[in-house]
Amino acid sequence: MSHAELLEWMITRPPPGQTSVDFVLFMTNFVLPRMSAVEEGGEWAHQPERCVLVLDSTRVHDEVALETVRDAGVVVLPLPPHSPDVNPIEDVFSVGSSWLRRYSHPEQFNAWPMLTMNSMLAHITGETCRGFIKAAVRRYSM
Amino acid sequence: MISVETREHLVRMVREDDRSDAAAARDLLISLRSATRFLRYFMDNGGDFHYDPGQWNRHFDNSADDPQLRDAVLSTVRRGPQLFLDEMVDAVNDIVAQVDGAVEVSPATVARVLGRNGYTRKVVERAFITRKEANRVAWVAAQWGIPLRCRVYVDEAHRVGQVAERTWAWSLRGARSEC
Repeated sequence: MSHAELLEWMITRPPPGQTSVDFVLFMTNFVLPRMSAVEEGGEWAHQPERCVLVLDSTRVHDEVALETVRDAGVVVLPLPPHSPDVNPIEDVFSVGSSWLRRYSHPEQFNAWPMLTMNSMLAHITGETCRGFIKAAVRRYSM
Repeated sequence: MISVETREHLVRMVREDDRSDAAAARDLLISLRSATRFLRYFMDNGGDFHYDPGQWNRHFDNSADDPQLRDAVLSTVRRGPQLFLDEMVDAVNDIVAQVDGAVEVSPATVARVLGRNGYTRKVVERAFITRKEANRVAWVAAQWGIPLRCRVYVDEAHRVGQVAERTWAWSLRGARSEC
């Protein structure tokens, strides 16, 4: 998620669940092509859009995966441990779960997971993303 | 404990105002059983309204209120918060055995001491050990200068699709919820 929109998403299904390989594939195929390399020594005000990746320290974000991201010239900014409140993307999952609970059935999700997720994410607009980020900034500026 | 004034009031209402026991009890917000017992005590004891406070059951002999036992239990629980109750009883009895004339305490007594002092058994959490406020403040300060347009957030969610599966439902008390 950037400051203005949801960039990409990917579904991984168990078994074996999500691994660091899935994370690398997701980053290289979907996210990194839409990010920019940071300009060495430049001030933040003059840096290009989408050049910093903010992520938590879950196990799938291992050093190999993060090195792949850094090789693309993107700055990696890990969140402090156990701090989902300063991560605005958590709100996407929260709002998305509420949408799924209200507007979809388990059978529908199991039969058409991509379509259902697409519908759910279409519900989260750029304006909504800006709201999530404003709320997170407000939380950690308090 | 219902006060002496309430008992006097009850007796006056029944004997002088000719109210029924039930009506007087209802007006004084006490049970009919209590009112009947107070009136019988008044009749049997020749106008005495209340038991001798010295005879009230104040649980002076309750071992759970013993300050030395409380100190022993609390020091044990502070030293070993992960102990099970039987292990804690053994530890407390080891301390108690050093006091002359002391008797062994039971698990129920130790449980009561813990309960009265606000101790309950909880799942051990380690999240707040690794979550340090100083780290969070430092992180916020470090990333404050990065414009919002530069940031991309990425995260994973598990079992997103399962939120549509409803595992709770309304049903009448005592009946299973099957649907």
